[in-house]
Amino acid sequence: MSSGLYDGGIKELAQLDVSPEHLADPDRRASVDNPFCGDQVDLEITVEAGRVTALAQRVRGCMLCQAAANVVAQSAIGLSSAEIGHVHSRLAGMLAGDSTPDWAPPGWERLVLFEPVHRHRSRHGCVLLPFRALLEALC
Amino acid sequence: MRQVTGPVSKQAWSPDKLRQQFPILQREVGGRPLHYLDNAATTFSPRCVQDAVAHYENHSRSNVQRGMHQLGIEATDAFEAARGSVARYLNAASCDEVIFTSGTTFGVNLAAHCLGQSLQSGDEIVVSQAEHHSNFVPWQQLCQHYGVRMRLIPVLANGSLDLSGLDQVITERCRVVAVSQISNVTGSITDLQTITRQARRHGALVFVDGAQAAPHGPLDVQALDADFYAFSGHKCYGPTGIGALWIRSPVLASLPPFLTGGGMIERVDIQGTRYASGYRRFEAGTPPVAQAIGLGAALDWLMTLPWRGIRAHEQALSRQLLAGLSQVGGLTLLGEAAAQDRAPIFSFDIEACHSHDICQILDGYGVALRGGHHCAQPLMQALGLVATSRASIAVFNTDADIAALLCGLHDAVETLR
Repeated sequence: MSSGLYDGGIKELAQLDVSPEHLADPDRRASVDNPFCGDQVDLEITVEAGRVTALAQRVRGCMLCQAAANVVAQSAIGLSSAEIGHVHSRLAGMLAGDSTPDWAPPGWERLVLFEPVHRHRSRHGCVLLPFRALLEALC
Repeated sequence: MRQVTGPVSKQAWSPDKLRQQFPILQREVGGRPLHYLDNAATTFSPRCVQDAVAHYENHSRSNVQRGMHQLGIEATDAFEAARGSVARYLNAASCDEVIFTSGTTFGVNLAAHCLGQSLQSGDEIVVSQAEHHSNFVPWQQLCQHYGVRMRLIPVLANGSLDLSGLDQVITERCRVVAVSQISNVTGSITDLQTITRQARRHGALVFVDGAQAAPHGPLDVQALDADFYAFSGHKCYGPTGIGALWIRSPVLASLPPFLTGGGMIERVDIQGTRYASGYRRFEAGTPPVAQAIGLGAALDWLMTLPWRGIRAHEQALSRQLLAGLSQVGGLTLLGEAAAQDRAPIFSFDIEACHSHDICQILDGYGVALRGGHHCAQPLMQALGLVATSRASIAVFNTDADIAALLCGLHDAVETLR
């Protein structure tokens, strides 16, 4: 009866401890909220030549938000704003229902775990919130 | 709420017959019966409310106050009868004290805007830290705009108001105290008598947000000794987009208009405008006629209900829910622990289980809960929380609704941990 959202690895992904809450000397910070539910992501990064070199975040959110944040923490290092924006766009497209096979970009394959979320429109923002935080920090 | 009198029935009141008046309760969600426990956000309307709105739309739809034709007269009669229903429900001294609004939020904004013009530097506005954003942000904006200090009544660890230092918060500088009668998060019932007494000592006005109290039976604003009382129709079994603001007559007469335009004037010429008196000064433009008529029907319906029996039923459901929640490990309940000391609104936090995930899983059981900050982020911050799950009980809820909630909750905890 658990709606299928929490099977297939989301829970395990959410429970990973993959990033610290703070960096010693961050270059940029972003703090974003989901006004719908109050979820919050406070993110710090260091950037070199326009690419993310380190990331820390404090996530106060649901399991979907936590899981998405952990994917971001593990996969965003070395990427630019444009590349992160591309991933965000593909993910948002999948959630909106217009995904194609292999929609998840290389290095981001674990995002397929979020495919069941597309049926739950009220939860799309939970998955996208960590990406919003990172894109805001890279602006 | 008004004191309930009358004989005690030997048989407990049951909502079984009353439920037949709510067509929406017949529907299913995902193949399961609907267990709607999000009544503090919006509740359902009985057929008599829907019929009243349909009757206006199908028989008398026209503008009010200025119509010289039969339909206009009928519409005006129905609209003003609805105002009378609001006045009776609130036990207002006069219909002239009742302003139709779009809901509680509009009522707070109206009061804040109108009172702002009389404030001076050094004045203070007092709100509680448990307020809904609707009764917080307008006052915060007012204070920032006029350079007035905003002071807070703090909360206890369970989210109920801490009135122990009230004489330090409401002082001779206070001009307005704005508090809710019942918290939309904790279900705590505010000790308005103590707050009003302290406010009166210093000549401050008292604004009461009645959004969560109004659905639970007829009120007595005169006994409250407040100056403003706002509530919403959609939480009182009425339509959306309608509410009312009661203002004590002398205060109402002293206030400048809020919105200006048609319907709120006595005369307009190129030199200026003379405004209408009474509630009309605050109802610019064509009002939400159908919605007001629906609200009147809802309040008329509420006034026919056997409130003594209903409150006993609500308390029985509350005890059932509280007992079930106490069996959930890691659960923290906000508000008072005993059913008789609170309204039937229950917010809880479960360790390692986010409210959004809980609500998602409960939806699979046909159980409609609310999860999030409930538009009360200052309260959440005080309690060190981001979000809670909330169940809120209405007159049509049954023990089956509570059982479904508890069953789903155990599954949710098992799934999420």
